[in-house]
Amino acid sequence: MHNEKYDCLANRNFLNYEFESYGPKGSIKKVVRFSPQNADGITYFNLGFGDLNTATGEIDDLSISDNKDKDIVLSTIASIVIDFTSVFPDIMVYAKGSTSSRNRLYQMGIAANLEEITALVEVFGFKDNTWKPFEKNINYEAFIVLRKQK
Amino acid sequence: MKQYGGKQEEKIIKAKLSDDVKDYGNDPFFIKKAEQSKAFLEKHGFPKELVAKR
Repeated sequence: MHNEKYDCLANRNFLNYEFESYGPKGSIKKVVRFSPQNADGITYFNLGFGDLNTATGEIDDLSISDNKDKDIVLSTIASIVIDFTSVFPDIMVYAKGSTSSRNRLYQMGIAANLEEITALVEVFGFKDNTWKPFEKNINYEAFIVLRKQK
Repeated sequence: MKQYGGKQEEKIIKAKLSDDVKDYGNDPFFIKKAEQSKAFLEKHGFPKELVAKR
């Protein structure tokens, strides 16, 4: 995994994480939210990620902050997922970017940190109407991870 | 580990718990994303391999 990451904070239910990106655009607060949800009787968490708009207090995941720290941000998100799944090891985490480019960003983040991610969690990607174990250099529509069971 | 806001180099970070972190459960963006995920998964299902391992 990329060695450099930002420190992050979590609230006490572990559903909300925050960290700050630092770069030419200054400090930008990033939020990762794990929303509990249920589909077909199965409980899972949806991973949401975006920039906090400090003016409105709302999240914007379409912003392109261009703070020249993409790898650090992606590595930090990957670590947050690993941290989160250590708290909720039996529940799947689903992620899908709001745009195809954001989805590719998630894919790059997984691929860049794949060895250490897959040591702890199983990763599946959705492509051609089916879920398959994640492989590098394939464009997926969505992702699901589950902590490896001991 | 360095202070919040800095960079640190442990391989896996452990988040520090803080009461200053807001609960974003009511944020419209996250609500919308969760609803979209439900629609997607009810249409396409979950990976059978992972469902079996939970």
